[in-house]
Amino acid sequence: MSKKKIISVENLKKYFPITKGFIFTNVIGNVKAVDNISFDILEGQTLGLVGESGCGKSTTANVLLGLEPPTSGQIKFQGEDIAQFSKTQLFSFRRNIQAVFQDPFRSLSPRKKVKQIISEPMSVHRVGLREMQYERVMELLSLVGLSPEHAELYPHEFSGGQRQRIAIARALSLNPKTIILDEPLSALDVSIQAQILNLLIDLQKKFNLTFLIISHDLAVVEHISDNIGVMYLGILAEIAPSDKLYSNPKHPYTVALLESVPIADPDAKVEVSLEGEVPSPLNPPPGCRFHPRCPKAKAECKKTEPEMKEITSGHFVSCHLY
Amino acid sequence: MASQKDILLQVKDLKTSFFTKKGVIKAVDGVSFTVKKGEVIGLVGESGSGKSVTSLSIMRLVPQPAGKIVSGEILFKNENLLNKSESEMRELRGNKLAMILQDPMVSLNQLLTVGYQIGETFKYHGKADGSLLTKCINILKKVKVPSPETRVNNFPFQFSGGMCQRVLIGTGIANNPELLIADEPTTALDVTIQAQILKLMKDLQKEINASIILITHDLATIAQICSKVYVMYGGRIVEKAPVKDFYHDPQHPYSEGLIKSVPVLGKRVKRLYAIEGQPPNLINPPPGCRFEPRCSKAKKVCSQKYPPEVELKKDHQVSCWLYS
Amino acid sequence: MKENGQDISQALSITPPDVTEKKLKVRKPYLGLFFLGVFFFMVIFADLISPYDPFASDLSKGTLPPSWQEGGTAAHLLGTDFLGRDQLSRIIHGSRMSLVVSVGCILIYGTIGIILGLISGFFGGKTDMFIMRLSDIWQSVPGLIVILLLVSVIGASAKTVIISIGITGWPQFARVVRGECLSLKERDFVRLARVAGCSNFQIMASHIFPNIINTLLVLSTIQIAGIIVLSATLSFLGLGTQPPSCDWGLMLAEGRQYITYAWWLVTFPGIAIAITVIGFNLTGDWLREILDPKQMLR
Repeated sequence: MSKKKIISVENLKKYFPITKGFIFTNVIGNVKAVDNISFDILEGQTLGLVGESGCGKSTTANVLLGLEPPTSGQIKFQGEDIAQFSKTQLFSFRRNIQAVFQDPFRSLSPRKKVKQIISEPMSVHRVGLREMQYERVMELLSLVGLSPEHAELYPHEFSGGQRQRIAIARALSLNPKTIILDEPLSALDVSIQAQILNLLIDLQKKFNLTFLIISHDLAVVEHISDNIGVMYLGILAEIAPSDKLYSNPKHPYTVALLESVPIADPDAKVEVSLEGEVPSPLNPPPGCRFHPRCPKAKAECKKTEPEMKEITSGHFVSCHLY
Repeated sequence: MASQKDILLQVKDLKTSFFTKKGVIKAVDGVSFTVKKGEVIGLVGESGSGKSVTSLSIMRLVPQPAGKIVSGEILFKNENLLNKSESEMRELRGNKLAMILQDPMVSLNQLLTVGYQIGETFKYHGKADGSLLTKCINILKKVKVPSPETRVNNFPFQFSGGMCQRVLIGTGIANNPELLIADEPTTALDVTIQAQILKLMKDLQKEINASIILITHDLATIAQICSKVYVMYGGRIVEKAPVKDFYHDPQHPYSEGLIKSVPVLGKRVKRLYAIEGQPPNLINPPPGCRFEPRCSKAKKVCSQKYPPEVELKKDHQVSCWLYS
Repeated sequence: MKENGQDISQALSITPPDVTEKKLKVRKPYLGLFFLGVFFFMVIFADLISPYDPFASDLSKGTLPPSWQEGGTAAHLLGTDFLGRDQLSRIIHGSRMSLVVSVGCILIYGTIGIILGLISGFFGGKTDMFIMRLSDIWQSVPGLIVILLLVSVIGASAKTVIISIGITGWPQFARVVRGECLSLKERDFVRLARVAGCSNFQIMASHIFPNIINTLLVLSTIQIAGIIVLSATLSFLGLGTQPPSCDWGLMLAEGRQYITYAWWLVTFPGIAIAITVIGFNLTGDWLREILDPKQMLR
């Protein structure tokens, strides 16, 4: 069964220049937040991106959302390069990618009622009349498990979990094909996380949504994703179907990451498998970026950057070991 | 019960409330527990469960003037901390009682060198002598900060998050405390760094033989390092259990739900178990069990009276009407 | 959420506006509101409550002392000035001029300041630098010189006062607005608005501006106090409102030459200015406490 590619990212780079000088600025270096990554997301599937802070996963999301222009590389939406879009095409394309962010306390405008928050994307895109928008708000509220009277309240009257539901309702309002979830659970309590995770999975099935979920929590990502990409210092170290990634991780970083995830079981003891810390993306190590921390580093790793290779079907790794 | 001698800290029926315009928030509402010498206790609970306020009450650092310890006793080595004067408390804090906070980046003063901030804990407790610098360097060595001789003169912004947390742990253990309260010490850190910090804490605990109260919402962290777990919900402790019992045989419906609702790596299930409903409002809590509105096993009595604490087996107590 | 563990409402994890320690010790606003009440009462009912026409002069009753002093009459409670105009009526009517001038100034420099501040904070980069340097330069020019220049070009009048204070005062507003805007534009709801497709203008108008209204309200209230003093100063120097209009500053200026034997000519307008200024200041402080934007935005 082959599904349609809904988003494909090819050789995406995002550098943030570091400038010096006051009026006449000159670039003295680049923070390579995202450096040459490629991946596809199939329709109705979920891609998880994991990695430690500063690995570039959130920057990737920002670029896909159009919040930051890419430095180079292509983003294709249903086979079309969005860089070729005209302004109006781009505007209507934006309807197809919506987002849910980490902190529901900050992602809802504090001075707006819930119904205004949820209907804003519809007003911006001039979808339907006011009455139809209101009906849609009611429909969305019940979809995410809130009741109609919540429409008239302000965000601060809700708990974290409820706010995240509001944020999800808003993201759904334009019937997008894709939703980018940037750490959607990490600000929530454990018991609420499971509620939201279940809600997301239900919605995905119902509307055939495509998700890109970004998280530092491997267990959460593994639970919801079809494919998982592991990022390290701006590069994609490994990308594979989630069962393969878990059962047969190839990249030493993935192995270490999986080993250091604490397990909620007192009998399983976690090893400290990775010493040291993530180097600065301003000045990443030459060769493979992981080599200073890698237990299996070879001489070659220090010199050349490894290429992305497909080991088995759908399982890509960039490491000199393979 | 353990003999009186082994007990380091005993909290008896502690009640701490916040008096606000909207009403009295009973953040901690009748909490009792003990901590033995050299024991690592995990205090689990979600936001608003009162776990942080409990720890602030022990340190007598409840934010004034809204917050107030209403009643109860906190016996530290058989002395009631609530009867101590502020200067006596200051003597204890950072000395016998130490605390580590969640976010290392904001817990350190960005304008002072790391060495100075470690040195402070010695100075305030009259332990500063000529060898202050060596002492600070030793502390940094203890928490495994690389090249401590040069790092001691660095400022916090020159450190990464994990290194800052090491420094904070260093200031916490500087005076060999008998009780260390760690409030979400690894939450702000990355997974690989979390593992490092947890290991460090485990090693140090053995070395200085301190008791630790680890406050967290992360069940996995508790499993790694604690020997006993106290589960808090809505300002009360609902279950006290040895760590193995807690994970393999939780008794309170809330503990059970909590464990089931965490996705486990490699054990993918179709659908996660989720505790429905929202966390309780502490301004006007229901008279009965706080968890009753969300509990799938609730009975009639649950909404009327708060359940008493029942001892199921040794060291395993539950407050739930299912067992009494 | 995770990054601010130091915050107590965080430690408690109770939805922020519920627990504000500040709410417990908010000062009572009664005195400030009372002063403002008196002021606005005078503004609104000036025609009804003033016993005489403020411009009607009766030289036969020139420089009468207040009624309780020897020589005063009950007919003129606060006495009369050298032209025999009733002091009380003039003070009551003077409140209107103060309000017109101060609100006019706030409107002018508020508008300039808000627009430039929003643009500066929102777009950042070179635009920001340009506007901020402009405001630096603007602030480095003494206001009085600008005012003198304008007076010599358009002539001294209330209008001149409004325009001149208006165009000199905007940098303060711009700075405050810019600062708020800088922190607001990084917030997730602004990013989400962008994702939803809002234009820059829509974001500024419907996401950023509503969130700085509180700050602006507080700032305006406190600024009004300053403007009243400034406009009084200008009138006193003869650069502002011109006779015969009722203006507290002007009354002070006119009374100055008679200060040795007619103390009431300077005292009562002075008290009126002081009370109004204190009223605005106290109310502004109170507003700042109850509307603390940091609390609202969390």
